[in-house]
Amino acid sequence: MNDSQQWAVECEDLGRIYTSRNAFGKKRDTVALDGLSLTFPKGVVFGVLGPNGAGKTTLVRILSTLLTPTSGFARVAGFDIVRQSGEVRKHIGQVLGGDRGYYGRLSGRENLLYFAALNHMNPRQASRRVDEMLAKVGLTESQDILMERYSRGMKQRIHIARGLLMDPDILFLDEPTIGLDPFGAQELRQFIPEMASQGKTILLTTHYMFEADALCQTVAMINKGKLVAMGSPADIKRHFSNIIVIEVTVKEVLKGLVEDISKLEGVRRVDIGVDGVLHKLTVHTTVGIDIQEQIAEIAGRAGIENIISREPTLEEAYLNILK
Amino acid sequence: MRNFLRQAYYNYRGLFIWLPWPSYITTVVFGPAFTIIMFALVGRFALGPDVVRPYVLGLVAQYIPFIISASILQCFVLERRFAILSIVYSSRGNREVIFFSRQLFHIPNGFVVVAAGLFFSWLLLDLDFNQVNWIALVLTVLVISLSSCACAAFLGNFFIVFTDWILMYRTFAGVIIVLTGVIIPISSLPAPLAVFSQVLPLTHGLVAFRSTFDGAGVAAILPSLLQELIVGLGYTVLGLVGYHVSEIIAKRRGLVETAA
Repeated sequence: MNDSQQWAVECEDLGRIYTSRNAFGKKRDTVALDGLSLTFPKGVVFGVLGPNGAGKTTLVRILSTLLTPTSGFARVAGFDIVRQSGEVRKHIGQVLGGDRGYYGRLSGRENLLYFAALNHMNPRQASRRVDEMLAKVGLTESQDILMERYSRGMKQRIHIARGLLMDPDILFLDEPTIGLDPFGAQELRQFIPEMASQGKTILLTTHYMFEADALCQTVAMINKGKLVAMGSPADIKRHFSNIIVIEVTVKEVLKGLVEDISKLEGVRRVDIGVDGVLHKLTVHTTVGIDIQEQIAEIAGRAGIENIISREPTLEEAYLNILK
Repeated sequence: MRNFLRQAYYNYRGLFIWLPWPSYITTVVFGPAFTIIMFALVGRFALGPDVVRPYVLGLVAQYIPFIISASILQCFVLERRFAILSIVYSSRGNREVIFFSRQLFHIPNGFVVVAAGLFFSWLLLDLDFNQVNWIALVLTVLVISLSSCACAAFLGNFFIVFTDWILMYRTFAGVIIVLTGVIIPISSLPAPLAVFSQVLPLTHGLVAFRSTFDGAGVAAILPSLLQELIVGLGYTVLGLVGYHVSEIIAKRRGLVETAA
């Protein structure tokens, strides 16, 4: 096996610029990806996090061979995404989600049969496979209803069925739970570890930090098209964010309390929350600067109920890294 | 073959917005038929009864490329608008199979619109069928439908520039009605336009179509049908090349999807 074949995805200096023109013909370039380099092996669940416009969807589209990069290169399953795009497509499936990507006037079953035919699946095998996928996503009873009448969650399940139809090695999930109710989102999340246990490689883009924290073995944070942090969720919390979180529970938030704490050396951020009838101050502090006692002294004016120090959550790490 | 037929069928059912029977009846049957009748009556009023037959035959035949181009162009544009094109472009699908499957089920629309136009012309304009060579007529309609499909599929590749299929369709319809001999004889056109008309669908097929009503058999109309087929073959080649090129351009410029 050569080096490339052990990696599911390799990106080196990947760049993508969108060019548009205004009514006067003046050109305007928008940089979506700016020299992005990342690599991950087969068999992992890899998360890509970033704010809106960070370049997550652009990255997924490039790796799915839907978009050509303007610089750099990428390989998926060992094949170049531009020069060997046909080979790449034999190994990937994608779940783009949303309210498009299907024929509304066909039933769920007919949509899947179409996509099976599109991918040259033998018709008899296609019928069996479609039945299997419909059962897997829990839509056997609704299979003959037109998709335009499906709920958002049902449509998303068809997207997943379609993404898995050809049993791909690598699956791209682009914000798959967005717009779903909590039950629908939870159901969908359960598919991910199940698919991973079958040896599939999954690239998941998401806004939801708890989703990435719970599901991904490795996470990459991107912002403005650049990679800003990459590692396991634990690594990112510990090393990349370089913060320790001190939670102080007080009886009331006195005037000037937050400002006084914010002025302490090493304090990066103070958030106020509610904890029953009490108030919780979440103080993000720089690792290596021990100010817990100073915080306790200031917060003591408001009546401390509790003070603890802990590692940041992935969301807290994310907010500090992208600041 | 089954996969090709399945793709063609589901694509047609999923994207042809006139398929529900009320839309189909009004758009493919009654609409063209009554437009033909109206223009024929105007022509009869203005120029006398002798113009009705050739006029009606030209108008009926013109609806083959009209209906087929509208139906194929809307499928190309809607496929992109509904984000199905993303799935097609990221699939293992053979591009040639996909290209031809977009055309297959639109061919019968040519027969339906001709049947409707001729029926209402017989009913309301006393169109005479006594000398018609039916085998030659059916063959002519098939050949014009094939060349119209090929031309429409070629034009469909321009979806990356045009997001509105109606704009493309109206431009194409205008060219057809003016330059293929439907109303204005080719011999009356300025020389450059007369040359251009030779590479349009319907121009040669229309000669055959009118001849079948004078009793011309297959052998007599064969040269015109072959010319029509060659035009269709040319658009097929251009369309296939265009399909590959449009995919490359759409991926380079980020045009695979439009906003919903």
